[in-house]
Amino acid sequence: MRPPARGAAIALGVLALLGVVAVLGPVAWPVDPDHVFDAPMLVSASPSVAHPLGTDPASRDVLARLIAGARVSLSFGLLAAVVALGLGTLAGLAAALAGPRTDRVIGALIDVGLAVPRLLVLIVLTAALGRLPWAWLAVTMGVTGWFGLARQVRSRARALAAGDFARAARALGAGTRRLALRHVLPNIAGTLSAAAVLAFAHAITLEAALSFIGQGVPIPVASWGGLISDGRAQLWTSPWLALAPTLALVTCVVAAGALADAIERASPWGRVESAP
Amino acid sequence: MRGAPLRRFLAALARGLGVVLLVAVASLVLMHFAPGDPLGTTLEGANVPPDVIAAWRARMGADQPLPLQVGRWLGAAATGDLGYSVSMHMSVARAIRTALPYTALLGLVAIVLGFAGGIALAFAQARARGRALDRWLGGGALAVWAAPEFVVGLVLVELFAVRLGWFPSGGAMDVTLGGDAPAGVVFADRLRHLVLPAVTMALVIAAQVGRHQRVALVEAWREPFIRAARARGLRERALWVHHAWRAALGPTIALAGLSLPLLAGGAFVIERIFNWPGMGSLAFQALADRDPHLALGCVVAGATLVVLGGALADVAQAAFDPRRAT
Amino acid sequence: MSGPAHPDVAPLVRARDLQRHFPVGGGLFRAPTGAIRAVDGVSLDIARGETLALVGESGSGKTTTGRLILHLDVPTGGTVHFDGTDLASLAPAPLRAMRRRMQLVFQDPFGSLNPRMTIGDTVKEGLLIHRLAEGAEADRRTRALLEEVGLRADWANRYPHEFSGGQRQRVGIARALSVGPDFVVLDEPVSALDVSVQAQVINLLMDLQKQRGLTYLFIAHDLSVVEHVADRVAVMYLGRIVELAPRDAIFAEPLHPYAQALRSAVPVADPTVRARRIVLAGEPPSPADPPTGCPFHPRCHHPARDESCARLVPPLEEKAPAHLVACHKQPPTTITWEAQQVAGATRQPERHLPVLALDARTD
Ligand SMILES: Nc1ncnc2c1ncn2[C@@H]1O[C@H](COP(=O)(O)OP(=O)(O)OP(=O)(O)O)[C@@H](O)[C@H]1O
Ligand SMILES: [Mg+2]
Repeated sequence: MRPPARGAAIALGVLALLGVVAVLGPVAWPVDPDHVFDAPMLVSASPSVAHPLGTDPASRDVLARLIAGARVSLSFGLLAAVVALGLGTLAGLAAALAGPRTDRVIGALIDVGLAVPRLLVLIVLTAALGRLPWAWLAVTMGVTGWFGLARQVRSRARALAAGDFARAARALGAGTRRLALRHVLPNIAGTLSAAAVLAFAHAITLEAALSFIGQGVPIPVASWGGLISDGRAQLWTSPWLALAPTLALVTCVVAAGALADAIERASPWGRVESAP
Repeated sequence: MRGAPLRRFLAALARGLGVVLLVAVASLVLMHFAPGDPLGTTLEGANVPPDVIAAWRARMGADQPLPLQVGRWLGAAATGDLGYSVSMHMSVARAIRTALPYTALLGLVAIVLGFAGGIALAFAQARARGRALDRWLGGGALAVWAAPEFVVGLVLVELFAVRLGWFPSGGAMDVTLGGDAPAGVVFADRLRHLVLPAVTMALVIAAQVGRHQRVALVEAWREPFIRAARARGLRERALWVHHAWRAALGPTIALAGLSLPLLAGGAFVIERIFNWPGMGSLAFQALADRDPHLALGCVVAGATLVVLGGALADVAQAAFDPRRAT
Repeated sequence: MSGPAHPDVAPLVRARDLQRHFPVGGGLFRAPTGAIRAVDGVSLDIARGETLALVGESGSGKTTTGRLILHLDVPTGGTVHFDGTDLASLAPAPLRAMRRRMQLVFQDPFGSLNPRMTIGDTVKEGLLIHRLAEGAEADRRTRALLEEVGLRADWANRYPHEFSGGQRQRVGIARALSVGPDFVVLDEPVSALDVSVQAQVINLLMDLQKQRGLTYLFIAHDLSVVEHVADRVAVMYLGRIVELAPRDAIFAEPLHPYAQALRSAVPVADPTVRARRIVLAGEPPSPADPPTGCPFHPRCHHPARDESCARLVPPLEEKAPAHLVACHKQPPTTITWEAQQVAGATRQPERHLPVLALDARTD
């Protein structure tokens, strides 16, 4: 295998493993993540056979919470990435192919979206809309995170549409839809998948930052970000509380970043911006 | 247009002004339709009589129809009046004027450190390309890039402030230091407070810059003019120093412009961790206290900073790229 | 104005005073600072069944002219009538329907095929767009088209990267033919190919023309390629047609000094004679800043060249039956000597035919 392919395979393997943990984890470790074991005695207990990753200050099993967090964080990232990918692709294609007026409007929208710090927008939105259930928070994350992707799609689609094979299709009488679906999309699939993988990673990281500020996925649902924030007060006394979810999150995001890098390097069309 | 960087800058700025305007209007509309009454929440707990609340609402224009509110806010903003902050008991403009220098100081120091670190990292990686050192450095950068900013910050706080006690864990100055303390002592105190937040932010920037710069460098290495220079027998070291970085810096500066919003978001979290009294903390307070005018002011000021930085990056990129000619 | 080859029959394509100016400079808040005059007043007729060659050096506006004629690019001035219909008057839907009748073959065999589509799908696309065939019938016709252009029918499921430049060019030709056009713009269809392959593709194009009764606009950057394919030749320089004549006239007696230079570059078949090669001075000027007067005057080698050439724009006028030339120093001309003198002329027009002076080979 060429190096990018090997890197991609490893990264994909790690992500798949995390996915398996999320799906099958509760079967293999059938402990209720919300169950309080022994409030006064078993608080912030060190790792043991009964609790391989210890317990948290509320006397809940950290491993069970970590698995529950994987379910939440991975679905969260997936949902946010799908929303961002859909909106960004649609907007980018429309801007590139549907005429100069659409292009100007969408271009302005993209400029605005990129000029405002996303975290700030998210905080303002969650403050305005009240605490959102995690799925809606993920959708909000996607809705605020498609601008960079749209810009990439726009510039690539524009270049493709100005090229000879797209011109040939137009000379044959192809309409905008056919041009977009048959001639542009298949040729930017690499860019799109790399961008989607990055959007997935960004969403998970941003959710953690939101949790830190107290606006993340609302309790009692456990996300990795929420677990890290919960554990940060005991960083030295009970490091496993924050360490386990941090490792899980960083592993996941590193794998996603490496996968995106590998896709970019394998695709003939240059790099993807990893800014949002 | 390489000959007219000023014109280019002004054009980018004009475009940015439009963006800021749109941001302001969008925020005002959002605030208008947001559930609950921010003002009411602020004053509720204070046991304020309803007629006083009504008077406040009238004074802040909250009782008027939306287009009028938007128009009034924009008109006032044009004269530098961004409204009144209920929670800070001062004008929003003044609150921002107080906070802005702190953010500027932190941001500038972090950007300089971060870029220097990131570029150095990329050079080390590019020169060791394909070898183990390249992979190790790349892996480290990837991990820092992947970790949330607050994790990086918390680790540094625990390590260097709580455990080792080398640096203060937060704030921008030692308030117990008297006004008559010698200037040198004051300066050293400021510097000590700056180190941890600046290093945290710089690490995050360096990881991002390094990742991109390495790719750009390796791409530049394949450029025909570099190959030509190699054929002329220039030493590898001289080549990297004199040629490759010039070709690679343009994309990195563009990245800096692009990632400013990301940095602003990061700054928000980092200022929060270190209690740094800049724009991020101000914005956080605005949200915590549900102070609508202050929040709006922060969003608009943030967007302005981003736009300004973007315009500068645009000009800098044009100046650095030998091939770009528009 | 160009006279049609067969004056009594209406031409299939009629372009009048076509212009395409690309704005340069300017931005969101500034007006454009100038324009590239890629095409600057081109008029031509193409009769049914003929091949009109359009020849000129790189950047002279040939490709742009081809696109304007197909309305793939919208002219900034002038009109195109196809079979009597003004293309600019068509709404999007009828224009798309009209596209069945006029097609395009590209110069670059690599960029002109979608790398993510099999060549079968590429050829079939036109059939599906215009609902000429569906399902198995479309597949059958696709295979027939591939065979018609000399490819194997069972290659339909392969992707472009598996083919050579010449084979790809054949796919591009099959794609153009799929919708059964009357008129095809061939934009340097063989320039990117090896010399050995060029002749095969040219022969294919000539055969197809005969069998299908096609009308061609054949674009090329030198005269040698078109010698055996063209009925008439239009020579283009800086966005304008400077000479338009039947093929034999262009080869035997080119009158415009630029056409003469092109003619002199064509290798001579007779080994005992050698044409005196006219080497043009300097680079072609930029279409963003064309010379005043005759666009060719800074590089002109006509002995009667003088001040008036920089002041007067010579009209494309008939020097012999069906032989149009834009040069007021080649008699006869409608620009009187008095008018030339007003513009600063010091030298009388005179016939200048340097290419006809062939030297006997001495070496
Ligand atoms: N989309 C465009 N925007 C700006 N300028 C253009 C555009 N398309 C073409 N031009 C310019 O118009 C002029 C004519 O271009 P055109 O491609 O028609 O020339 P050509 O004769 O086909 O040349 P070649 O032999 O290189 O194909 C050139 O100077 C070109 O740079
Ligand atoms: Mg061309």
